[in-house]
Amino acid sequence: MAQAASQPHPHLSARTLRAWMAVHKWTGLVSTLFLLMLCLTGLPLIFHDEIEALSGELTEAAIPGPASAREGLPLDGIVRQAVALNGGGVPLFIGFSQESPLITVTVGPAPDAPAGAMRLYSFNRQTGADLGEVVDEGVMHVLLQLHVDMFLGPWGMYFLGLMGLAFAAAIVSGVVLYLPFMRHLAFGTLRLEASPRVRWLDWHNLAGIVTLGWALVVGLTGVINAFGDPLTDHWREGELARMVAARAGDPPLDPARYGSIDAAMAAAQAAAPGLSPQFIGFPGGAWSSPRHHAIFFQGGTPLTSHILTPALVDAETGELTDMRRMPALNQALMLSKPLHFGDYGGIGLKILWALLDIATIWVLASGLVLWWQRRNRLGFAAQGAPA
Amino acid sequence: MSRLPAQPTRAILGWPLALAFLSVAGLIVGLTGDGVRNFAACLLAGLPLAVLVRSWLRAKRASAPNPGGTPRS
Repeated sequence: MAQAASQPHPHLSARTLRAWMAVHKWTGLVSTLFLLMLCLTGLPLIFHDEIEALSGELTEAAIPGPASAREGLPLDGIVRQAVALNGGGVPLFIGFSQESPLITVTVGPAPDAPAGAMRLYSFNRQTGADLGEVVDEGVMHVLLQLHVDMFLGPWGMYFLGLMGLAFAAAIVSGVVLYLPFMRHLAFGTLRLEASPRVRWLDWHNLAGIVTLGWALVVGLTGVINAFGDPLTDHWREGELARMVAARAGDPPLDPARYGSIDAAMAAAQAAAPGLSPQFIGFPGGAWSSPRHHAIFFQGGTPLTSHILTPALVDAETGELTDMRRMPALNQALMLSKPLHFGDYGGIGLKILWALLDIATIWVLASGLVLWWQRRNRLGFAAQGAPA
Repeated sequence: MSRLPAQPTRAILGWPLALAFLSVAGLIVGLTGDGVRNFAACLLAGLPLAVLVRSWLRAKRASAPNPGGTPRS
């Protein structure tokens, strides 16, 4: 860094440069340890499907038949089975598969039950076979929880979201600092025979600048995902409330009076030809109003499959109340998931995701080394020791 | 690894921005479909890694004490 300061860039005064260096140093230092944790836990998570298949867990590919989103046994019967397996309670969500007859039903003690009190049951919609309760446990679950919120709940999630923002700021300031450092060097320069400091610097600059696009995309989509729950709350309290404004102020519907979910689905599908259901939110939960079944449809193309259109059906009468696409901000949240997970382009893209993740670990580690070396050198200088 | 005369900003940022643009375009192409589009996505998103490996191999060759590969006496 001393090298750069001694030869300021024509468009960057020495003072501006020092300010960008401070931004890069502090956003980097604050976030590096958390980002290293995210990169390390994220690496096996990229391959969670493959790892779960290897460890003998039930995978969708092992259940032949038509997709549960398209056809199968009536939903009402499957919901009754799930509630019976749970020994009572109320249904909260139904999740459909676009690939296999797998269908899941979430059951909880009350319509507004917290996530911790929910239990998830899986079935084959073709045969009605009980495929067992889906339990979050094992190493992959621990890694996922560390990655999402470090077991600290919503505040852990928001904190990691802020670390993602710091990462983005470190990337942007890193690009600005790249200018003076590379002013006299060709793109791709690695001075392997130079001093360790120059070698680390060249690696940091090269690995950092080539992963610029990917790291910004994964970093910023991670930030959007971290703030996903407040975004959903905002949708429910805003747009959803407007969609069901005619019933505003009505008391929450007693679960005993829920009408047929198959009738609700039929009413919604009549208004949404060609769209495939992704999941259903029951009344009173985070994804619906206190009186409606919210049936979330996805588009028929790979791109629109990430874009959700909820149909709100009166849970008591089975009549369609309204159907609107989610607002842009919530659409961005939907698209942020695949772009963060890298699970949409086959095994090839997953391997690239892993390699780019490792390259990012290299950038973080080399940044840490550079900071440590400089700190020690400056420390010695301050004590009058020879540099 | 010789020292070049001072380069203008656009020369310094040309490759980096082109790579960032192409790799992000690849990530988006992959979202729009399967098959050929996934293949295109992998090619584009893999460019940064190809550049990294190529730079490393070139630097290694340049710094090798004995580029000819023949045993030294």
